[in-house]
Amino acid sequence: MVFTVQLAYNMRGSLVLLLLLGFGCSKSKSYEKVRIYGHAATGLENVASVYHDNTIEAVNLVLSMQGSDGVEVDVHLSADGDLWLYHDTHLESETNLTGCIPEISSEVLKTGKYSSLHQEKIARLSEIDTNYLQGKELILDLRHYNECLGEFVNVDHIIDRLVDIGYLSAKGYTVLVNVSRKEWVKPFIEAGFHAVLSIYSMAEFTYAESVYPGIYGYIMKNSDVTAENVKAIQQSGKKLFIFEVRSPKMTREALRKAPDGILSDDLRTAIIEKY
Amino acid sequence: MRSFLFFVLSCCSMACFSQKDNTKNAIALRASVAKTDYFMGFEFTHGCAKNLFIGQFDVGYSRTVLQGRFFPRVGIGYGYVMINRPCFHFAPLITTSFSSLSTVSNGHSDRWSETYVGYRLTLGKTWSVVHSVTCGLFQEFTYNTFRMKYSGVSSFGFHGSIGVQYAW
Repeated sequence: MVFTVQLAYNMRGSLVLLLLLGFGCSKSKSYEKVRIYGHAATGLENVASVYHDNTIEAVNLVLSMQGSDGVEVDVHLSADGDLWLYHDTHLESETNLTGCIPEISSEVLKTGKYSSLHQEKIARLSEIDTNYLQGKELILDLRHYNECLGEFVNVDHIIDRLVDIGYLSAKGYTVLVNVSRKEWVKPFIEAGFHAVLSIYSMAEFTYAESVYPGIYGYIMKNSDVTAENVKAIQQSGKKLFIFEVRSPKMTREALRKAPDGILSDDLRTAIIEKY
Repeated sequence: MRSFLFFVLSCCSMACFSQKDNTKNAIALRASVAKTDYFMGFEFTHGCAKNLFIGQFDVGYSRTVLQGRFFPRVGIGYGYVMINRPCFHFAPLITTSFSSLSTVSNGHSDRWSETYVGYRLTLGKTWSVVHSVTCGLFQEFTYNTFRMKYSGVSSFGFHGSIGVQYAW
C-alpha cells in the first residue's frame, strides 16, 4: 500500500506532463484557406508512398483523398509534341528507358516503366481523369530545358498541346501553369492560362510584377519565404504557393505563413496539420 | 495469409500446452519505426518452450499525438527461439498488424494491414534489450472520395523496433 502511494506520488510529474501534452495538442489556429496539393502527386522521395511520383495511380490516389485540394505534376514535352509526366531530367534514373523526354517520341515513351515495385507506366498528361479533378486544381510544372540537346523547349508547342487536351476551357476544375523561365510567362498569359512563376526572392517578385501584371501567382520554396513576404504578395492580389514541405515541422511552419497553397511531399501530414 | 497465420499460431499453442510448464512472460517498452510513422508502445511476450507468442500495441507520434490525432497500431506475432543462450535469444519472427489513422476530423480513416517476417533478439536476463526487424507485405486502404468506397493497394513495408524488456 505504502509502495503504491509512493509510486503514485513519484508519477505526479509524468501525469502532469501527459495532461499538458494532451492540452497542447489541441490546435487553436485554423488554416481553412490554405489549399493542400500533392507535390509530384504523392511526394518526392516519400518512403510512405505506395506509388511512384508523377504516375496516374499516384495522381488518382491524391485527388481521391479526403482533404486534398489538388495535385502538382511535372510535365515534359516529347519529341513529337505530346506532354508526359516525369520529374527528373534523365529517364535512366527512374525508368527502363534512357535519354531525355524532349528527344524521345511518344511511341518509345509509352513503353516506359518506372523501376519501382508496381512498375507504373510513364504517363501522358492527357491520361489524368478529369472526373477526379472536379472541384480541384491541377498545377503543371512545365520543364523548359532539354539538357540532352542543350536547348530550350518550344513554348508554343506546349501551349498548343495544353489547348488540345482542353485545359484552357476546363470545366469544374482549374489548371495552373507553373513556369520557371520568365520568358514563358507572357505567352501563357496571352494564351489565357493562369500562369504561376517560380521565384526565389522578393526582388524577383518586384521585377515580375512590373513586367507581367497579368500573372496569376508565384511559387516559392518554404525556406525562401517569410510570413511578411506572403502577406506582401497576397496584398498585390496574387496567389502564393509554397513547396519543399516534407516533415510535420516544415508543414506547420508553412501553414503559419498562411499562403494560398502548400505543395506537400507528405500529403497525409499536411492534411492532418491543416484540419 | 491471415488464415495461415492463425493456423500456425494454433498448432504452436497445442504443441506448447502439451509440454512441461516452463513458460515465461515478458513485457517491453519499445520505440519503433514503420512505413507509416514512428511509434511508441508495448510488446507482451508469452514464451512457452521455444515458442514466443507476441502481442503488440503502439501509438504513432510523429504525425499524430503532436497533431492531436490518435494513431493506434495493434499486432500479434509468433517467434521460434533458434538460439537460446543465457543472455541472448534469437528468434525468426512472423507478425501481422493493423493500424488506423483519421487524417480529416470526422472523416473516413485510412487503414493499414502489415504482414511481415524477420527476426527478434534479446540481450539480457530479467531486464533485457529487445530488438526486432521485419519486412514484407504492406497493404494500404484509403477512402476514395470519388468512388465513395475504400480501395486498397499492396506494397513493400518494414518495421524495426528497439526497447527494454522485463521478464518474469
